[in-house]
Amino acid sequence: MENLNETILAVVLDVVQEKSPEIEAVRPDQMLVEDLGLRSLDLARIIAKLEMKLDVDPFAELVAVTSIRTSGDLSAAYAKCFSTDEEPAPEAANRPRPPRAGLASQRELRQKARGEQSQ
Amino acid sequence: MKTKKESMTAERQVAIVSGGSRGLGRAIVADLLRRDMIVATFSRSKTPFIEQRLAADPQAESFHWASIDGADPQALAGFARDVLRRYGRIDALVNNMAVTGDGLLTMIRDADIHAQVSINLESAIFLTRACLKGMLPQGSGSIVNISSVNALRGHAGVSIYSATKAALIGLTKSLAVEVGPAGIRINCVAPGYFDSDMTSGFTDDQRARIARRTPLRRLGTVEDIANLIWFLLSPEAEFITAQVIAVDGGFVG
Ligand SMILES: NC(=O)c1ccc[n+]([C@@H]2O[C@H](COP(=O)([O-])OP(=O)(O)OC[C@H]3O[C@@H](n4cnc5c(N)ncnc54)[C@H](OP(=O)(O)O)[C@@H]3O)[C@@H](O)[C@H]2O)c1
Repeated sequence: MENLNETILAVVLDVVQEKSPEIEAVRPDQMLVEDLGLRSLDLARIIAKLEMKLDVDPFAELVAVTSIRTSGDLSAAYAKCFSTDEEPAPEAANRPRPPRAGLASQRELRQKARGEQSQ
Repeated sequence: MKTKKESMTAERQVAIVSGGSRGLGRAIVADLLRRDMIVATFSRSKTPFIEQRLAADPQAESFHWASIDGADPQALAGFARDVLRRYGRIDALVNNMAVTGDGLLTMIRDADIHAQVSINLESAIFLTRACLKGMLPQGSGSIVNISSVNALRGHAGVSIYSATKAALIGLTKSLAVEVGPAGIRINCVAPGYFDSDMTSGFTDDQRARIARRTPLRRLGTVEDIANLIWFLLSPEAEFITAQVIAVDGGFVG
């Protein structure tokens, strides 16, 4: 589990540093959008990188990607793939959905409202 | 993030071409191999072309083929994963595989409608998604969707085929906006009629009529189309995305 968390934090840091090279470390409780400045495409890149490393994609069926707000949520989602428990753990995916849709930033939401992304 | 040019010089580029056993797909595979790319392709059945290529490269250093039914999304995802494992990257994807069905809409069997939507459209979506999982971490990639002049100009008897080919244009335009910031380009090529198994049912009269309606007065060749595909995949096109380019001798005008 230790390893899984470290792998996830390393991949998140990798993507964060592409935009903000001054950030030297990330913590599991930091919000990916609000604290780390990521956008939905960045999350897609993190998930693709993790699929290459871990060979699993929890978001294909197990977990709703909209429930992911922190690196800790990511860890919980991947832990689910490797868990042998039948009972689902009370973690990120089972929390009530956050009021904002997934990882859309305020700017993305504003753009959407102006009809720039889709009609 | 590495530019396409930088990553081109680093390692041999890897391309996936759907339906590379004959027709245009075969020409694309041969062309990309000639340009020193590693090419992975699939079809349901093996043709002499595939057998020849496999025999020439038994270690699959440059050429990989699998027998896959493109209607199966899991098989498509598995194929892309296998290519990533074998070669470590996916730089290019050509969504070429397609089927056609002739007939007025009210007379087409349900199964034929489903087959065209599934192979021509859904499979392209699933394969694209699977390949993006390789391209996103790289921060580079180029995708070409093979549409058709039928998507740009109406013809009786091919409404479903045209609908699927027009849908690829919508897919291309929105996805280009979505993945452009990650360094991935996606374009559409819309070929005019060219000789292949798909058009083998055309009579000489039909061929002559198409040539007459084409300003350049002939049908296309697979090479005409493969040339543009290579250009779009190559670094020469690194500022081109979200475009639909017809290779049709001026047919749609
Ligand atoms: N020919 C034209 O005049 C023309 C004009 C405009 C656009 N296009 C487009 O150009 C592209 C190539 O056309 P083409 O004329 O070269 O076609 P083609 O000669 O009929 O070849 C189609 C290829 O797709 C493969 N394929 C078909 N169904 C499949 C399935 N279910 N699973 C896996 N592979 C499958 C075939 O292999 P198997 O059958 O062995 O599976 C074959 O390799 C298509 O997108 C077509 O719509 C063609």
